[in-house]
Amino acid sequence: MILLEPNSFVLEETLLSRFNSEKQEVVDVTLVDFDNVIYRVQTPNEQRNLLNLSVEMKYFNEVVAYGAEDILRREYGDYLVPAASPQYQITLQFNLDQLPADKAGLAKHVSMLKRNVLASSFIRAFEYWESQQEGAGPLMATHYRDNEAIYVQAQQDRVTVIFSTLFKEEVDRVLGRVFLQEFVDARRQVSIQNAPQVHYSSREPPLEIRHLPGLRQDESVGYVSFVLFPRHFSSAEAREKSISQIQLFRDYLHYHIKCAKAYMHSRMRTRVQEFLKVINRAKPDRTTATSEKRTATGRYFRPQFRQPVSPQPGEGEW
Amino acid sequence: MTSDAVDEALELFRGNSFFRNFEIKGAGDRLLVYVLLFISQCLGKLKATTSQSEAVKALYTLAVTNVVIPADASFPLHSLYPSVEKTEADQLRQYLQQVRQEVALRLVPLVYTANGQPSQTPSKWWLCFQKRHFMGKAMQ
Amino acid sequence: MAKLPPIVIDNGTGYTKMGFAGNTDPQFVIPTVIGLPNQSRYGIASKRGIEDLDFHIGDEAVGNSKTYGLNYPIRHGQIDNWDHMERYWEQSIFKYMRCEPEDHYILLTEPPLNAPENREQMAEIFFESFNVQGLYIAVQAVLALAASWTAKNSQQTLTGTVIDSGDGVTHVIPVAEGYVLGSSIKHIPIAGRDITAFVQQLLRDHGETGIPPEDSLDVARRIKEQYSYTCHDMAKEFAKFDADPVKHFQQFDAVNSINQQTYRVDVGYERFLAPEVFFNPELVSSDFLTPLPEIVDNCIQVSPIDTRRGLYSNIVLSGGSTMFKDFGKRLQRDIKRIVDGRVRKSEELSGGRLQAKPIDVSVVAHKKQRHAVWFGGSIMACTDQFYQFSHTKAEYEEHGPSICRHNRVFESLA
Repeated sequence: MILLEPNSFVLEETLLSRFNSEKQEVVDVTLVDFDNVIYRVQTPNEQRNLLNLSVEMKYFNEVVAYGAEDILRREYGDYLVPAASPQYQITLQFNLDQLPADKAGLAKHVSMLKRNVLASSFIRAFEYWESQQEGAGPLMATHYRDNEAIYVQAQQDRVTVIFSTLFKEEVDRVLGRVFLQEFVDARRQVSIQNAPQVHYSSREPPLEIRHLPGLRQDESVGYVSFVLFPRHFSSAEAREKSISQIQLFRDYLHYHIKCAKAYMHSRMRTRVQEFLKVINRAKPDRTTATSEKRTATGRYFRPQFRQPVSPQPGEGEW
Repeated sequence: MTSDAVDEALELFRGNSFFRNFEIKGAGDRLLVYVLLFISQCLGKLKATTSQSEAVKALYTLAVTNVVIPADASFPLHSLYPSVEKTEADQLRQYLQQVRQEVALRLVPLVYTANGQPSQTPSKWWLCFQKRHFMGKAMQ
Repeated sequence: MAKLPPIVIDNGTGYTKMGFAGNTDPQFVIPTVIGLPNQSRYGIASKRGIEDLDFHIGDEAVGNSKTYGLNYPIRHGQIDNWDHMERYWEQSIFKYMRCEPEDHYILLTEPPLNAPENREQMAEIFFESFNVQGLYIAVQAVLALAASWTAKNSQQTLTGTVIDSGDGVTHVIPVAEGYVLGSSIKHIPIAGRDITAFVQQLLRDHGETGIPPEDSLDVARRIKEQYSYTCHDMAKEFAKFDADPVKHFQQFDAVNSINQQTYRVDVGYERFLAPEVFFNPELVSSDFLTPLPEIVDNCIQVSPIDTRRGLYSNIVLSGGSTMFKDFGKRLQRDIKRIVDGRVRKSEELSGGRLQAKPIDVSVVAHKKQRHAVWFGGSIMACTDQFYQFSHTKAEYEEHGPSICRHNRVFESLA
């Protein structure tokens, strides 16, 4: 698995199993998505033919300003409940007796909910670009995690997306920097020159957002900016793809940092095993001639030496 | 209704045919083992297509011909039974022949049922025990 | 900020159960198998690019087994290959659970008698690779006990005997006050897989020729799950079938997985013979003959004397193969019979001078038996104690992986 899927697999599976269930059991399931999104799938008030999906999204109020509600109405209008359940921002309600024939398609579509909501600032920026207005559009921030945000701004000839991300760990920070540097370098290859331009800076916020108050400026912050050109968002297809991939970039980055560490761990384990082989080879050979004696019955008698304890893989990592 | 040794054996046959180990605790168990092995032999004679009248005939013939007694070397569990004198053996053979006839007689209506009603073909719920042998042994 | 629910992952030999704490069922139950590319015998150092991400786990691995070699990272309950396991977790968390481990506490499970070194390994992986906020490693049997607290007749203690029977092997594990009595654990080489094979053989015996060979095992498994029940007395049960054949013999409608045609399978004596395997192992095995009730009794008899009453009075079932109807009742009756027999005998031997206090034998069955370990974990991870008892990232940084050698036992439900 190289890329993360834009939809929530666990939400899709949970919904689909409820949609296909004939018994219509009462359910109450809490699920989580990246960036502190909580889904709650439950049967409201013992009405077994209904199913509520409530979503808790910290940044929902922020994205409402970028037209998230319009998107919700457009995508999920039939299911949207006007007043969301308390402490949730969005509630969808499904009538299990009146589902469309394509249940799998519906489940998949609903599992894209977080992606679609988060897409609102992107869509707003693309629309701004389409309107061909002079000068730069508004800078739209989405604080998708505590202390981390996505900024989207449309300019006349491009759209800039800036991520701020936080590394809790020294190691992660280093890996992240290397990883992002690779990203910049990889773009030089001919085959992927059409990919959006990527800039990475740690500590120093990029010019576009430098004027904002309250930006963290220490070692643990990293800023990644993508510059999208019209070819990345002029066609509807490219647009959707760009949105899906860019908004997951933060999770993608952290996922790969973790994979990189896992990979390094396996290398360390192999290395340790090889070292141990060398060390074990240095042990004096104890199966010398004296150890083979015949017993009275003519059998060989071998003293039982204890084998060197084979190490647990990965033991003694350093 | 009273039930005798043959009834008991017919009742226990299906359960016991799954077992390989059986501890013989008394004379009654010795008879039971003999009858169980004989039931197994009877079932072996039946095919899914055998009709009831054919079955009656076939099992009767089986019951009266070549009556093996536990003391015979051809009896699979012969070591578990005491040996007998010549006169005693004839008497035993006669007695066992009577038992065998009785088993054959009572087994047929049990096997020829379907859903609780008499049927013309043997029930598969009996035939499925053809391949299983009590204590892993079978009478030839 | 409200805390995100902890993640509960129960990695078993056959299946991995994972989900978010607070739910009653795991979100995913997938085979514990990882599919790695066949051809690439690349040396670990010669990696260029992202080959290390080219793998599948669970059902996807099984589905892709033509091009990906299957590896089972857990053997006999213990993690065997840490490289594979680390990557298995990687994909479990990011793809299946879809969450950022940095935001969560995690509850993992371990088999009884797990080496403390394995706990350290787990801690290293979860704190170093995944940066989890906190980690708790619970013993599976203890979680199974906790899961039984939801049952009506439960005493809510952490003393009891756990009978854990999954697909591969059955364990009887005595637990006293949250600690496993390692020396008394018993294993039985009979579990779900053997029962399915037995059912399959019985079906073949009574000539169910309609079943296509490739579906045979699956049909046997479904018949086992849907039609089986535990009987009082095996020999007498046959007579019940004779007396009321219409009620007892049943039909199972199955669909051919290849040409989608339906066919009908008759279901007969396997209905009660399948669970009977636990009480008469002779049905399927020629070398292992001790019935489960006897094993349980043995197991408790070799446990410390002051725990035995507690162990008898709280016998808890866990795992899919204990789900047969009335399994608990039969087990309770049989164990009680053994225990009472012994008490009576000792009273006789004392010549009537000693009067024993009757021993309470009680088998606890409950609705969450199938994934009892996971469910117990889900309950535990919702308590306040969970956050107190978990090892946090800060503690790990301060003291190192050795802190995970010991995990405090939960006292009660908050």
